[in-house]
This record gives sequence, C-alpha cells and structure tokens, in this order.
Amino acid sequence: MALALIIAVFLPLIAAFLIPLAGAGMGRRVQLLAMPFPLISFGLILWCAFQHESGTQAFLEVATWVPSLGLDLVFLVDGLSLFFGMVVSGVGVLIFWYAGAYLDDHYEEHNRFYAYLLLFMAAMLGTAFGGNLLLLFIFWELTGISSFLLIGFLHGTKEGQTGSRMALLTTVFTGLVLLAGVALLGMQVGSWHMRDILAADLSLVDGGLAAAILILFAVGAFGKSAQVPFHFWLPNAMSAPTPVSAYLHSATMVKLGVFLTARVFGVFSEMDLWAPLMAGVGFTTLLVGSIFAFFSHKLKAILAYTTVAMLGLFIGFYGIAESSGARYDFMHILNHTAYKGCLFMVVGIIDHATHIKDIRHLGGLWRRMPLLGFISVVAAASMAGIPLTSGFVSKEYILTELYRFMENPTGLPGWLPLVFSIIAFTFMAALSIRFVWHIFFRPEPEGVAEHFHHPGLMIHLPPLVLVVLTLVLGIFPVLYGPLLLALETPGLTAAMDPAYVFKLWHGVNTELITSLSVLASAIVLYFGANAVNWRWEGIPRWLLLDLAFNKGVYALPTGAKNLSRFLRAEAPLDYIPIIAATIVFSLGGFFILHAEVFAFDQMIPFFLESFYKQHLFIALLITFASFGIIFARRWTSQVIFLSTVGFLITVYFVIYQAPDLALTQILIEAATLILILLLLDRFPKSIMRGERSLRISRIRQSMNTVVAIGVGSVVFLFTYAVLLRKEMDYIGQYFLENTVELAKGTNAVNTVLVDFRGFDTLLEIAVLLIAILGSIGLLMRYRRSSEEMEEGEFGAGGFGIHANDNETTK
Amino acid sequence: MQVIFPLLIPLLTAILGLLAIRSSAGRRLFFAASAGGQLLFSLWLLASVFSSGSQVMYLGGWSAPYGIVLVADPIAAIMVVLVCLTAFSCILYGFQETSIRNEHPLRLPLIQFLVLGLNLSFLTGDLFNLFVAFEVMLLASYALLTLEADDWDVRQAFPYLAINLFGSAFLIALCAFAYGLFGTLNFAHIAVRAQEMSGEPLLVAFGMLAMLVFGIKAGLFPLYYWLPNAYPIMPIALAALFGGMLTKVGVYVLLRLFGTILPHDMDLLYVVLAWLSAATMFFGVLGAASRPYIRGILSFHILSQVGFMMLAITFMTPFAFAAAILYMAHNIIVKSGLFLVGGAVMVLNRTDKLENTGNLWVRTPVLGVGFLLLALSLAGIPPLSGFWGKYMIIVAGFTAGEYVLVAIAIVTGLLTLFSMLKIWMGSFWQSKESVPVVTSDRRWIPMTVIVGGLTVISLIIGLLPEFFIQMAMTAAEGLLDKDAYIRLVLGDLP
Amino acid sequence: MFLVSSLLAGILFGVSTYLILQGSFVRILFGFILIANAANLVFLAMIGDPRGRAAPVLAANEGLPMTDPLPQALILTAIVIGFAVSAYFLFLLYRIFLDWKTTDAVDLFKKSKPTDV
Repeated sequence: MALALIIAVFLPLIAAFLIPLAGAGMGRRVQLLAMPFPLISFGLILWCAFQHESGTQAFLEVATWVPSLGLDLVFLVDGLSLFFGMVVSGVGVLIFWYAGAYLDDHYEEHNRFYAYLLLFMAAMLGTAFGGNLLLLFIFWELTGISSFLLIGFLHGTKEGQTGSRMALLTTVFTGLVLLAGVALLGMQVGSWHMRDILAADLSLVDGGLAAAILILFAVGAFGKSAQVPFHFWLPNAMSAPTPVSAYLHSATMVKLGVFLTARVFGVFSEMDLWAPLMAGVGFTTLLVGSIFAFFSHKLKAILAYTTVAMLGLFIGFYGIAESSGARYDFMHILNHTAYKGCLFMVVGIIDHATHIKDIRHLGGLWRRMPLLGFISVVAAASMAGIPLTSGFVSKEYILTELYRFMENPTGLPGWLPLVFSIIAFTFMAALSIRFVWHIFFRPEPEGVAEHFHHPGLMIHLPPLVLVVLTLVLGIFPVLYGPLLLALETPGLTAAMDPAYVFKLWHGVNTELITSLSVLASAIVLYFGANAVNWRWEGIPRWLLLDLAFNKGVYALPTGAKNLSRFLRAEAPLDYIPIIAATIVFSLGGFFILHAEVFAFDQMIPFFLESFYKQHLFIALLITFASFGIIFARRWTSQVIFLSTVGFLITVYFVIYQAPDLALTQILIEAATLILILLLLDRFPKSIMRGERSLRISRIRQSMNTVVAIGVGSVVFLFTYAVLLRKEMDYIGQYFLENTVELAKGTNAVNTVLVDFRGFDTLLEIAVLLIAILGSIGLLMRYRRSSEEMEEGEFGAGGFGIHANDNETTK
Repeated sequence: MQVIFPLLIPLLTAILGLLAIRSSAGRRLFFAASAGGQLLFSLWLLASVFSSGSQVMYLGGWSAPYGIVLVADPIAAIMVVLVCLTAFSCILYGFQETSIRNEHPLRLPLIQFLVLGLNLSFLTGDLFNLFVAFEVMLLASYALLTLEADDWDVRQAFPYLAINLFGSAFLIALCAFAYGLFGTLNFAHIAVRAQEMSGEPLLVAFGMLAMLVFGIKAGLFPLYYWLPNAYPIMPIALAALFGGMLTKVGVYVLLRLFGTILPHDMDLLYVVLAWLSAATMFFGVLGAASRPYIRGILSFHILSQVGFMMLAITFMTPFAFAAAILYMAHNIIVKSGLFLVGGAVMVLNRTDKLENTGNLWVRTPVLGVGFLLLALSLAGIPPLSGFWGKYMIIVAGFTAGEYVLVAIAIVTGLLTLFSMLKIWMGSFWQSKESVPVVTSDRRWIPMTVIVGGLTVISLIIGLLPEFFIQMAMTAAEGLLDKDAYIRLVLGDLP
Repeated sequence: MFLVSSLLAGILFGVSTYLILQGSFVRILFGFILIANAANLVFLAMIGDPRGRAAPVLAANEGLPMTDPLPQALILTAIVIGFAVSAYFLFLLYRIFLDWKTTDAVDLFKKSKPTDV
C-alpha cells in the first residue's frame, strides 16, 4: 500500500516538472499527456481504499527526511485521507478531461497549465495523506503556491494579477499562522508524528496555550476555506480559467480548511472553545456567503459565494458535532463536491458558448443546449435540496444534527446554527431557482445569439458524470451505508450501526417540514426578487473586504516609504547622528545605571596622586588645537590646527615612552598634510573664505553639539572605567621577556610588528595597496565605451536607474 | 596548514594578477581559475574540519595567545565555503554582465582582496587581527563600490564610507578596551578572562559596544541606513557579492562574540538585541516594499533577513544558533541568486524599474522558474531552503517563550512574500507591449545558467535539509562550547 | 594620568564627531583624520602609567621596567591603516567635488542628478 501511495502522490509531482518540457509545442494535445496521471492516482487510491480496514488508522513509514526536526515521510491512511484522496483524484480526472475540451487554441502555454494542475493535485494528495503534521503543512503550503500559479494563469490581465495575489497573500498569511500552531502543538506533544498528535491530551497543556494553539489552527483553516473575515479572496480568485475554478474552488483546495478541521477534530473537539469558534465562524460565514451569493449577478461570483457558504456549513458542522464524533460528514462533503463541481463546469460551458458571464444577460439556453439544461437542473436542485437529489438527503441529515444541537447546545446559543442555516438554505434555494430559470427558460435576450457556438458533446461529459452520481445517490441513498461504513475514521466519525439503512423517506417529521417550508419561502423570495426585477448593483463593495485589501496592498509601498522617511532612512546626513546617538543612549544609559564602575568619589585624589605636569600641559595644548579646528573659519587655518594636533600627539607618544609611534606619527602626519594641501588646493576658492555652518540650521547645530558631547563623554567614561579596572596580567609582558631570546631583536615594538604579529603588518601593507588602487580607480574615471552606450541604458556602471529616488534630503 | 590557503591564494592571486598579467582575456582566465580553485580548497577545508576536527594555525609559530592564530572551526569553514562560492559565481556572472573590453582592470584584483578580508574575518582568532581584516574588506569594498559607479551615483559612496569610518574608530576603541579589560586580544584568552569577570557591569558595557560596532556592519536597526542606497549603484555582479556576504560578517562576529567569547549570562544584551533585531526585520522589509526597482528591493531585504538571524542569536541555545547558521547559509546563496536574476532582468528589459519591466514569464520561463524558487525560498515557503531556518527560528522563539517576537517574524515573512510578489508581478507576469524583451542579447543565457546553479544549491538545501541541519548543529555547538574552543586554541594554558 | 588621558581621548572623540556632523567636506575630512588619532589615543591609554618606565627597546634599557610594547605595535598598524583610509576618503571627496561641483554634503544630497531633471 505504501508503494501505491508513493506513486499516487509523487508521480504527478514529478510529472509536473516534466510536462512543460515534454509538452512544449504540443498545444492543447498536452492534455493527452497529462491525463493518465490523475487516472493512475485515482486508481491506486481506490485500490488502497479496498485494502484499507475500516475504522483503523494505518501509518506507512516511507522514509526519514529531517529527523532532527521530527519530520519524516509518513502516510496516514484512514477514512478521512482516503475520502479526500478519492475526491481530489476523482474530480481531478474529470477536470483534466473537461480542461481538454475547455482550453482550446485561444489559450497559450497549455503545457504549463497542466503542469500547475498536476503540481496542485500532488500537493492536495500529499496534504490528505500527510502522516506527519509538518509534512502536512509543507504540502498545505504547496497547494497555496500551485493554486497561485493556476489562479494567475491569465497573468496578463489585471484580474488575474490581483486575484492571484490576494489568494496567495491570504493563504500564505494564514498558513504562517498555522505554522506557528503546528510548531507549538508539536512542541507540546513532543512529536509531529500524526499518531502522537492525534493521541495528544491537551487538557494537560496550559489552558491559555491550548486555546492559542486552537485559534492558530482555526485561522489556518479559515484562511484556506475563505471563512469570514477571509471570505474576500475566493470570489476574486475566479479570474482563473473555469476548469481551475471548478477544481480549486468547488472540489478541493478550499475544502482543505474543512479537511484540517476534521483532521484535528479529535485533538481539539473537547475544548470549550471549539464549538463557539468553529460553529460561530462557520455558521456566520454560511449566512453571509448565501446572502452575498443571492445578491450577486456574475455567474462565477454566485457559485463562489455559495461555496464559501457551504464551507462555512461544513466547518460549523464539525463545530456542533458531539466530541464523540461527527455524523455522516463525508456524505455532505461528497454531495456538495458533486453538484458544485458540476455547476462550475456548467458555467464554464456557458461562458465558452456565449462569452457572457453575467446572469442578467442570459436566457433561453434550454432550446440551444438541452443536455446542459438537464445537467443544470439536477445540480441546482441538489443545491436547493429538492428530493431525489443527493442534496436533499444531505439536508435532512444536517437538519437532524442542527435540531440535536438546539436541544443540547454547547458554547453558543442552540438556535443560532439552526436559524442561520434555515435562512441560508432559503437564499440558496431561491438562487438555485434563479440560476436555472434565468439561464435556461426565460426568453432569450438580445446578444446571446451573437457569439453563440455550440460547445460540442465532449465537454458535457464530465459534468454529466457528476450529475449521474447526484441522481443515483439521491434516489438510492442506501448506497451511502457501505460507503460511510468503509470510511469510518477513528476519532472523527461517530461509530455507525452497520445495520443502519439510509432512507429517502423518514416519514413526516420536523426535518421534512422544515425542508418544505424552506423551499416554500425560497419560492416566495424568488418571486419577491423577480418583482423588483433583481435590480441592484450587487452587494455593497465594502462588505466584500476585497477593496480594502487591495487598498492596503497599494498603500503599503507608500506607507512604507513614509515610514522610512520618518525613520530618517532616506536622509544620508542623518545616518551618523543616529548611529552616534544610539551609541550614546545605550552606553550612556548603561553607565548611568552602573555609575559605581567609575569610583567618582576617588576621582580627585586619584587625579592628584597621578598628577604629571608635562602630560597635562600637552593634553591641554591638544585640546586647544582641536577646538581650533572647529572655530577656525578658513580651511588653511583649520589645516594648521589639524597638523598641530597631529604633531602634539607625537609628543604625547613620547611621554608614553613610545618612540616608534612618535616617528611613525610624524611621517604619516607629514604625508597627510601634503596630500591635503595638494588636493584641497584644487577645491574652489569659495571654501578658502570658509563656510562654517553655512547650511546647517541653529537647531541642527545644537543637536550636533549635544551628540558630539555625548560621544565624547561616553568614550571618556568608558576609557576611564576600563583603566580603573585594568587587567595587570597583560600579554605585552611576554614580548618584553622573550623578544631578544625568541625573536632576536632588541626593540620589542619592532619584533611584535615584524615577527610576533607580522601578519598584521602584511595586511597593513595590503590595505595601503588597496587604498592606492581604489584612489586610482576613483580618479581614472570609468568610462563606458561607445559600443556599450549604443546598447541602450544598460551598462556596467549607469543603468539609467538611480540608486536613490528620493532626491530631497533635509 | 590548510587554514592558510583561503588567505594566501586570494592575496597571491590579486598581486600576481596586478603585476604579471597584461591581457584582459588572460586576466579573466587567471582569476576565474583561481576563484574556482579557492572554492575547491575551501570545500576541502570544510571536509577535513568536519571529518577530523577543527584546525588551528599559529602564525609564525608563535603560540597563542601571543601570536596571531587562525582557527578553522566548523562555522568558520562553512562561512569560507560560502564566500568562495558566492565570489566564484559573481565573478563568472560579471564576465557575462560586462564585456571584456569594458571590464575595469582593477575589478578582479579588488574582488580578491575583498575575499581575503572576508576569509580572514571568519578565520582569525584575534580581535585586532579582526580589525585589520575588516579594514582590508572595507577598503576593498569602498574601492569596488566606486570603481565603476556612475559619475552621479558616486555620492552614495559618501555616507557608506563616512559610516564605516566612524564605526572603525569605535572598533579600534573596542580593541583597546578589550586589551585594557582582559590584557589580551586572543578570542580564546579573552573568553577565559571574561568568564572570570562574569557579572561585572563593565563587561556588559563592552558587549554592548561590540554589539553596536558590529551591528553597524551587520545592518542592525537603526544603524543600517547606509546600506540600501549604496548597494544598488554597483554592477549587479558586485552587488550580489556584497549583498550576499558583507553584512553576514557582522552577524558571524556577533555569533562568535555571544557564543564563544562572552559569558552566557548577558541577559540585558540579549533583550536589547532581540528587540533591535525585530525592528530590523520589520522596518527592513517595509523599506523593501517602498522601493520601485529590483535592486532596491533586494538591498533593503538584506537587512530584514539579518534581523532574522540576529533574533535567533539572542535565544542562546545550540538549536537557535543552528537556525541562525542555516538561515545565513541559505540567505547568502539565495540573496546572491536573486541579485543575479535582477541582472538578467536588466539585460532583457534594459531596466530593473518594475513599471518598465515585464513579459518575462512568457519569454524566458527558465529564468522565471529560477526566480520563483529563489523568491519563495527567501519568503520561507516549504520545502525550500529558507523554510527550515525560519521554522527553526520560530521553534527556538517558542521555546524561549518570546511569542511577540515570533509574531513579528511571521508578519515579516508575509511582507517578504509581498515584495517578492511585487517583482514577480512586475517583471514576469506583467504583459506590456511597450516593454522590450531583448533575447537577442545573448548574455542572458549564461546568466540564467549561473542563477540556475545557485537555485540548484538552494533546492538541495531545501529538499535534503537533514545533512545541512546536522552541519549547522555541529557548528552551533562548536560556537557555544567555550571550553572546547579554549582548549583548542590555548591548549592546556590556564 | 588615567584621568587626563581618557579625558583627552573623550574630547578628541567629541570634537571629531562634531566636525563629522558638519556639512563642509573639509571639516568632515578633518573630523575623520582626527577621530583616527583619537581612537589611537584610547589604545595608548591602555599602556597605563608610563612614569618610571622606559621605552621597550631592550638594547638601551635592559633591566629597567618598560612600557607595554603590544599597544604600541598595534597603534602603529592602526596609524598606517588610518592614513590609508583617510587618503582614500580624501580622494572620494575630491571625486565627488569634480562630479557634483560642490564641497558641501548638505548641498550634495539636495541636488538632483542632471539626468533626473
């Protein structure tokens, strides 16, 4: 079984990378190349399902991957993973089939399209079978990336760009939140292996932390499943070609949030927060989504919002389930997948045949495409929950569950899920009627005929398969019994009585009456809306939150730029003051807190004791000369003061018994002086007059003074404190003792330079050499050759782009 | 003996190249061969460090702590390999970017000096020698920065130089304080003496000054402002080398300082550094979002990721250190690779201003795949190389109980993706008829090959992370195990 | 001795920081030359008290207590490196002057490139 799953998951993954190469230049026929992979995966997973023993969980250890992080390649096979695996690969087969007919020669890059699809399918299967929480997360993120590529397949269009960006940012953000949850949960459990995760007892964990982990997981699930307040990305992701919408948004990707909820059901469902969080958000989304769907006019938007709504229902369904297990959850998900996938494909066919995307401009298509009409009627009936479709069966059982919850509520008012659901069901039934009637049966408006061409039989087959499934299950619900029994999942599904038979007719009970009254009010609602001719401009945009999101996306660069300005990151002249101030603040603050290191009370005696006239005298001279640089107006006098400081320091070196230093200092000082004189002489005469503080405001100048005094004080204090604490066992002693014997030299400074630390000196010479080279480079200016100028803006040096676009600096 | 080669070869190459070689073609061949050789040597060094233990070389035969000592422990060996790898790919890339007639004759020798400075910074075991290594590296970087800069762009070198000069003055003062406080300059010997001083406020002050001084080099908030405007003025090949390596020297020194040299009880410093790192990563990534051209975005991003690494340092566990090292290694490769993609975009679209680029996903999908993998890796999407380091940092943060800091790191990850998306949308997905795609300029093909090479390395780290995590763990344990380091360098000296 | 030396180092650091923060290229340059000297003085102070000690030249002062040779050697290296860096900085300022026709940093970053206009 392990091998089968490895092939089922990794074969499409590998194929995804080979298809673009193998399929180059094949045009739409790439589909034939890609088609076998979902078939193989589906077949293998089906085979696994037959091998699988119901009610058990099998962990197939495939390989170790990153043992130091607790991540191994493990597949978890249980009812949940098999169910999702079959849905993903089964719908995958239909989608690949459908895409072959849908993506005609108007589209380009077919090979990339199928590569993305395969990548996506592999990622989905990996998520479903991931037997290690980290592995699951990795595939989870991979679905986000591959769906980004799919949604942005038409990346030349603005919708393609904004839609895919929104999808990616939302799912990755919530994915990162989920990652935090994954990390925390695994750290609490001590392992990321699903066996240990599912066996985790969170009551042992600190309550706040456990709640935090649950919320992190929930945000991950909500983001992927487009729950409020993340509902905005899904309708915008409809900019993709329809096969993508059908695959991602009806059948698979958005159900990942539901999958994750189911996966961790056993871990969290006993927590008090579980029901209010999952059911609260889920049922709110159900209500909001169905209302939005009812008020939308774009075909894909209608379907997208009903999807959002149904996802809310599923998540809420797990929220209100008894912690012993949810009932018949797979049945509902399967039914939804069947009719929703079908409806998406229908919309794609309509778009393909008429190039019309808005329901207000459609009508009379029954005459032109009766088969499509039949498919739509059945699928819409299933959405509305009309008997003889699988949607009806589902709705009965969901209502039973809602009534049960109303009697034993936990965590939130018992009526809330029921009322929200009834309202939502009414809206969805009403829009199902509209969907069928307005597209197929009302008189054909102008414009439909204009672009109409019949799409051909082939494209009808995939939705037909789903419709047949809907009908068969709707008429013979007894089939659910063995299916659900086979997919029983420990920790998730409530134990089933093997003898239980799913029936169409339960007698006249509360559920049936509710269901009928929902249908009745839907009809009223439909005619009510008809009376005002469905005349509204959709839903208020601000409720959709997508404008706000986009506004944020566009405002971010500007805001960031203002922030950078505020932080003075765009003002080069402020860099050093900021650095200096940082040093002063941190060290100065620290010294104030630890003033004891300075022994201030002993400062005066200390000073007197170590008083040394010559020393003080030279120091005073240096100080005066250095202030001279500040106060001198002409650069010539500044140079004189600078040199005076330099030569006085020579004397200071002599006081410190450092003759070699004094010698070097004189030489270097002379060389510096010559260089300065040579170059400054070429500067314009204006600076000869001196331009002290010409361009610097008084406030700025006093700030400079404060910073300078701060730097000076910090250096003084630090030096003083270090000298007080001076380590007397310094390694310099070693050189005095050993220089004659070991280095055969009598001047210790020289032996250190050329022998003990000769390497420093070697590099010092290298530094000089580099400085010379650099100066040559500066002055022998780099000129682009004429050839390169002809090549346009591009050249080694000037690219025509300016490093700093913010030219103003204050 | 192997330890000296990463220093000797660049030095000799640079000098020989300056003195002996006249023809441009010969120079290219010579320097490329040398860079390739250095890469092989560094791999050999790495292999022998991991197989037979760290190596110490007492220069001139003078025993530590009196002479200068070179130490190739795991972290140093890893960093040297990364230097050689980046330098090698950037040199090859430079050959494509700049035609042979237009290449500045000093560029290649200066790159070798830069490599010398970088390698020495990683290998040296002596504080003052580190200062000298920094100066070699910085002077070479100044020279390279201005060498081929546009006449008007040259002013950006002014703040870059000014800040580094200012920092260098404090670095000398830091060496002086070290000598005053500890009576020695050898890292291992300082570690011994600092351990004895453990708890003294002056030691904390020393650590703080060191943190700030090396923070300037590493790009710590608010000391990083010099970087994002300076790097974009260089040719891409150099910007990639700088962007990949230079700040990481600062990060490495902080790792060494906090891990090996100072006692492990400087809690105040860890807190300060942690919050500064958080600010760095957050403001850095926002800065990137504000830039409208590829090199600007990437330059600002460097800082954000430096913040990540430094955040990990502050948790002070082997796991967190390993996370920082792994993240650093990944970041060097990926960041350089992204810069190189930017260069290819500039060849193809004739600009890297995002509003004037586009059409590349259709026309050059291979480059697109390379960019996509590198960019997603930078944003930390699994299972690419950036994910593992980021995930380990998150786990380390949770272990330390720093939930707020982890939250900032997570938001930063999202914003990283945002600005990578900006490049992707602007250069690859955007379709504009007015934007030319000059595929007839054949330079983009070898450029893409080099990008591909770096992408493959990043992919290998991403898909087979265990080997690299183990390496990073070894390096991290080596960094944090002061006693082993002291024994290694000083022998049985007290 | 300690007090005076550290005060002097502090004053020189302060003065040079002040100069560096000015607009005029000349002052900034002088600030950087001065700060290199200031940093050397910090190192020099680490020698401690030189009174009663001789220069570390063993041929002349055999047997006498001598000053610490290591900081001296390191300062020597630092002086030379400082010179190299200052010289390079001087050349950079000169180059900027040639390109931008200004000798004032404030002015430099207020101007915009000719190509942008």
